[in-house]
Amino acid sequence: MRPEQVLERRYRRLLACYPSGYRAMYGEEMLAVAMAAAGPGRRWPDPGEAADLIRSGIRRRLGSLRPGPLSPAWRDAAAAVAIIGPVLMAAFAARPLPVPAGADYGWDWFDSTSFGGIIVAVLWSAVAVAGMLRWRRLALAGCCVLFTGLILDTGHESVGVPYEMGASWWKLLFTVLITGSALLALKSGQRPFSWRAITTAAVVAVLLAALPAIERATVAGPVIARIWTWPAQRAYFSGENHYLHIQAWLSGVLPVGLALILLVAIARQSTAVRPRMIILLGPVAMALALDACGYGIFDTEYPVLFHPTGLPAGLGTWQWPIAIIATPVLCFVIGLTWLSWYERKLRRRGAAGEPE
Amino acid sequence: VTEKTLQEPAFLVLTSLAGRPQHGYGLVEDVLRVSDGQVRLHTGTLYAILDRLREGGLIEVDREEIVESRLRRYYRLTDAGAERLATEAVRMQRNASAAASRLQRLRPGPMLKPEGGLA
Repeated sequence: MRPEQVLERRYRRLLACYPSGYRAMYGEEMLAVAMAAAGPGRRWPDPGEAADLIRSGIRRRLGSLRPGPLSPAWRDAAAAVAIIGPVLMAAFAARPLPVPAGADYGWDWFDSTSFGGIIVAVLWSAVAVAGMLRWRRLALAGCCVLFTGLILDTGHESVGVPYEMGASWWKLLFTVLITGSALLALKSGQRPFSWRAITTAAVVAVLLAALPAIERATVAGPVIARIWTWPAQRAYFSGENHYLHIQAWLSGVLPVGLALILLVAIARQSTAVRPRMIILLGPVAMALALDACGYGIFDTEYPVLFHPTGLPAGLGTWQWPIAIIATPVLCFVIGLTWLSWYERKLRRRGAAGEPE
Repeated sequence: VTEKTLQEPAFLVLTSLAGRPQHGYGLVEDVLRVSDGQVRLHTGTLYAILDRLREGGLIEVDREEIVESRLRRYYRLTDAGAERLATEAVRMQRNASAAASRLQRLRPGPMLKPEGGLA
């Protein structure tokens, strides 16, 4: 084999450090430059040249995972999330919560909407209104207060009842997201929703959340005497099982309804803002969907009624919570990577004068 | 590239392209010449710069040729690139003048020559 062929093969190996898209764009050209710079008769790449190719290739790969500088589209997406998020959190705060109440799991599992829940709902609504008025610092301050309150409340409730922490995982994630979005939105001049749109969303969300509370308040007495008897799961029903209605509503209709509100809110944004909103909200939607299916962090030890209780995919007691936490994070990273790749492709097409 | 100050290699690449459209290896040689042998661009660094300048709309592809079965892509300066280079040159000139005048006040006497010796 001639020295040039050997050298070319070695340079091609070095070019493998670059992502495939970049190689397709510049690979042949870079090879030509490296070969011309090497001169005739060489079999090995110049060490400086080789080190530079490896360093640039790795930097390129890592760079493609890193989000670009904060564009106005990110700020506008954050501004939208910082308004629609509090509306949904207010609706969830006002719903009746399924919490263990004593040894007999029955009707009392569902607390009717508490005074604390109403206060939290009012505070989240105030944050949404502050966002709509573009009082961004006030909205951020409100988010911080609610985040701190959630941490303190979860810590307090979780003493001896780890289920509480598991049940609050998606809520914690959503609160972190809303607070982060309120921070990013500080410099956004946009008001992403009209008053009419946000009022409609709030009314629908409140109705969705309030319906089980109305049923809980209007149906008298325990219909189910006892749901759980160790070691088997048993249910004793007498008459109509309202428990099932509420469970189905809380785990099915409510999340789906609120997800639809989110989708409509996303659809009303510009093309640049839409994918960013999906990337921001995707992890929370994922955590909420897992929660609604019964896959909370502590579900293996504290199974919720009618939820799957086995450990999927052979994961251990502590591996499963880690998987539950890692899934939304992974979802966020995949979203960012996709957006980075897609926008780079669009820019390249634009630079080459191709139609998009 | 469009908002931050240009780094020296990027500035030299734009300077080289201000003369005429160049292909990759032509740029390596011209930058070496323009910088008086001080800056030798390696392939990885060169294409990182070209990619950034292209994304920033400061340069564009002029034409492509196949020479000895190897691809040669020529790049040229865009209007935005020429404007940016001019702005950067003025900025650097202003900074150099400020430095020279302060040095003059610090050490009155003959000006420093570019090579570092005294005139």
